[in-house]
Amino acid sequence: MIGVGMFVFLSWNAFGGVGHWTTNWTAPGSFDLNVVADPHDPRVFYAGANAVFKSDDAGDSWSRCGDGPTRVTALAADQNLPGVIYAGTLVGTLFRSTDGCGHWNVLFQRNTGIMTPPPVRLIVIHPADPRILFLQHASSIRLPGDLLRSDDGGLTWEGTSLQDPISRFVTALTFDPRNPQVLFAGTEENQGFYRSSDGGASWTPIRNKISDSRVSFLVVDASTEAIYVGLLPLPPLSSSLWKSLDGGLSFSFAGAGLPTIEVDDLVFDPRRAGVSYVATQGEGVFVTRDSGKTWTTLNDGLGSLSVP
Amino acid sequence: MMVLDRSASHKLAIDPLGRTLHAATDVGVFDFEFVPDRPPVLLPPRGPGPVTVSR
Repeated sequence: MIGVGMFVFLSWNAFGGVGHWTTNWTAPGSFDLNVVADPHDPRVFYAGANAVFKSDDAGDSWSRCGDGPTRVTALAADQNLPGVIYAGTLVGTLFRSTDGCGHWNVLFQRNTGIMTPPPVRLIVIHPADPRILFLQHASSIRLPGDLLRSDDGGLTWEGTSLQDPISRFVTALTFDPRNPQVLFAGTEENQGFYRSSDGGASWTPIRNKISDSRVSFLVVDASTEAIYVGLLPLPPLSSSLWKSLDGGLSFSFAGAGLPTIEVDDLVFDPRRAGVSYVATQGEGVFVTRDSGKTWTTLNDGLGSLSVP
Repeated sequence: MMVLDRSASHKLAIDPLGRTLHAATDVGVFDFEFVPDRPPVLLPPRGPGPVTVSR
């Protein structure tokens, strides 16, 4: 006699993104809060607001870092060097901490004479070589933005070949994590979409469906090389999320289930294949469990918090 | 007292092990508490059951 049966293994992970939101830290009056995860310690997170804050316990508690940047507009954590954090400010200064935000040094200050420098919008670190950094200042009322590159860890900076007027309009910049010689740059409306295949030394405009739209973020999925782009949804493109599977040559709709509003950010779940999360302006957070084919809300707990 | 709406989830961060997800909003940082992961569950055998093979 031969016994025949079937054992079925189920893992809760398969469902991904089940739970609810809470908060242990509110910052009324803060502007454009930012948050980044420490790539080296799963319990450490940094938040940028009127100062830089740190949590050592996965968000259960937050404390202000030592003397350092104020009015923070951009944050980045180096995935190669533990404890190295960059913070950009509203007045254009780039700070660096090498001890997990205990101490800070000014790494770059744009010289604009008597005029207040424009704010730092982007800090992008090479995924494998921490000496290579990109820094972008958004345009202010009186001063144009710029896109700078450093090859020596921020000691010296030069303009990139993505020159004016394009560099001042860059709104999103990312490396291809599987091939860091490749970068993608998104811009303001009608300023184009760009690709570099030599580490940012030269840039080629790509005409595609999204190249006339304002890009709010760009991320590349390291596991599939899919490029996700968040757009300000304006006619003729009514969707805010688009996806490319051919290195940015073409983009297809990836926002089924998302409202027609701007999407600010997207993160991939490193634990659950095919699961990603997006943050929207006005409709909270959405999750996909099928690599972007469909999105559903993930707002249990958001929208019900009373803030004293 | 103000009531937070959903108007402000601007930035997201997830730790490298995928244990905690955080959203930066206009009023603070929210933490997404995943339903605790459970180890794989071994369910009882299902299917056609014992099969007798005659020689």
